[in-house]
Amino acid sequence: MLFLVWVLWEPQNWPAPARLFPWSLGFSVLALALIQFVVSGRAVIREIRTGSGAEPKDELARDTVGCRDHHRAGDEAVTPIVAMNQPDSGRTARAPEPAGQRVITICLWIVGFFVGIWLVGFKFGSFFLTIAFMKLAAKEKWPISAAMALGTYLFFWLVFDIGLKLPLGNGVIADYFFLD
Amino acid sequence: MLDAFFSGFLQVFTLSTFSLLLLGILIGFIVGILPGIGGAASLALMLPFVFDMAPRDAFAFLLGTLAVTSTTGDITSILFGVPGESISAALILDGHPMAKQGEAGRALGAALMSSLVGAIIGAFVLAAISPSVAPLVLTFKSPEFFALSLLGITFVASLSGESMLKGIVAAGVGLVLSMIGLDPQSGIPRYTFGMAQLWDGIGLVPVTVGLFAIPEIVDLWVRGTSIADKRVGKLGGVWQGVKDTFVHWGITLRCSLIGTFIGIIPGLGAAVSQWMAYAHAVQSSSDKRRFGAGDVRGVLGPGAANNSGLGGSLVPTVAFGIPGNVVMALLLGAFLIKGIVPGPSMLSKHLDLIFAFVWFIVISNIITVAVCFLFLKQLAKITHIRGSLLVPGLILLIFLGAYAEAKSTFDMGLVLIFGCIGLLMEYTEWPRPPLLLGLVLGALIERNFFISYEIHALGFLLRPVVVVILLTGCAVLLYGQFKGHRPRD
Repeated sequence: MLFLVWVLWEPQNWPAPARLFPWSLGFSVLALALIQFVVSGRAVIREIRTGSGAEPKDELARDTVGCRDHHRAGDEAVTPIVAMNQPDSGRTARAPEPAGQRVITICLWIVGFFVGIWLVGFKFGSFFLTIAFMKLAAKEKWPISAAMALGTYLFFWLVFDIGLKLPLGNGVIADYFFLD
Repeated sequence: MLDAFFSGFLQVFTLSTFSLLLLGILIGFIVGILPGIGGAASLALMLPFVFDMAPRDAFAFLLGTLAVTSTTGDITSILFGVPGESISAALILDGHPMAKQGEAGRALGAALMSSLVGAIIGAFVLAAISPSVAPLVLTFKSPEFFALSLLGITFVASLSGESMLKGIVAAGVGLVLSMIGLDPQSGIPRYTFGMAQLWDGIGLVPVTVGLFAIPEIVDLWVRGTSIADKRVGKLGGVWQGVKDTFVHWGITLRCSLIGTFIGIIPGLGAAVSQWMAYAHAVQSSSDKRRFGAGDVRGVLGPGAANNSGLGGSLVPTVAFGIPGNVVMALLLGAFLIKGIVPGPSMLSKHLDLIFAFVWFIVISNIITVAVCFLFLKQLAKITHIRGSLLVPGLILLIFLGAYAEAKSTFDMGLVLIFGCIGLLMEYTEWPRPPLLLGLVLGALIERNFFISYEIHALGFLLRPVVVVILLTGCAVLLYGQFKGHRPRD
């Protein structure tokens, strides 16, 4: 709703034709948003009064998830995950992490990928970012991390650079030092 | 006319034409799977190569490329929740949940077969109505486009489950976002924060991958499992999906016709038809509970509509020289390169070429589906690889998809922003498709509203076709409020 208020406030100095559509649309949507806000608020108050907590329907809201070998207790339908390595290859199992922490972790990695690509471009970024993720986040062993990183680099280079002639950009660092 | 029909068929199987058709299919297959690089980009890349080709060969190559991109774009939508094309986003809603439940094969089989059926229907509509479509196309002017766009919004509101109001608000926010950029009337920048990168508005690809793909990747990592955390056996298999296409033949047929009709009307495009088809599949079903959680009908509808649109959008392009979307505009360029003038004269001088187009679309889809079926089971097995191995590649593909459209890291930043919005909407149970469709339709609504107002003042709302369309929209909204109607298929 704050966004909609801003949308309505911004055009006040615009010419009349330019603000006609934003205002006609914005006021309508703001009115509907207010109604939805009231409806949602009443539902929340009703739930608090009856003492019933809503079951989180979203998988993001699960309490605990574990590492790749985790099975939910009592969930017989979950079958062992196919692994490129053998499960007993000596890789140390990690303690289960709370879902919220995993959400934050992956969001930071996504931002990190963006920054990495911006700095070094897609070609080199695909190699270094993949290997960093596989080792630091996924805790994979070196052979598989290196293989995935090399495979990702070759895929980007062969398909996009050589095959489709799509300019992938060199990144800010390369542009600054005039490297190609 | 019959001679031209069979002549067109025979033209497909000359050595040079068929070879180039196969090459186009191969290129379209690869491009379709890659997120962000869509039909328009692939056509633009291939256009320079057609200068030295004979006209028939050139169109075999280009239509072979185009015909398969939407089919293969469905594959990544289903397997990874990453739309291979912006026109494949609707398949994520039910296709990806099916993959998570171990039914990736069934979803892929249903998407491919319904795409094939849709392509065949769209192609034969092209053949059947090109000579007589003039009254239909010429009936639709700015007021009718305005009304149709509003109808699209009301359809999408029905995608919001029990909270239609949330859907309408989300669509409204999408319409607001579509106003970002230069005002079409006065040229002043609107909501651009002083950034020149926003003068052209927000790109569709960054919004699509941000809203849908980022939350799926976060979910995959948080779950800590593979994409599919169940094995279902034969019920989740490819042939079950093929059977579903014919068991639910009513949805497949109607959504094919929806896609074809939307394709015929210039300006709307497959980005709209996929959602309208999905909304129709939801509305026409008595049991809606599984939609959004892995209902095969939610795959059949958009799958059929996506592919039928190509045949439909060729109708105004070929019959009038009016390209209905960016892809057709590029194809029009190919016509001019080869010295063929689209329009009424083409119907008399190049009727066999028009029928050859029909067969190019049909045969390339048959070949693509046949090839896909050969390794669909292997593709479905990707869903059982642990997520930590897939996540980095998916993140890179998402950012590349956003970057590829305008070669701009700014669009990658938009992916981050809309990824946050998508996560928030998913967590708070707000529907995302209406926001996307509002963004798609916003420019159309505004432009057609102003043109209609300039010519007719508010009297344009009383035009007969406009009244019919607006009443249909009201009926859709009211119908969605009442439950307990008879199943229709």
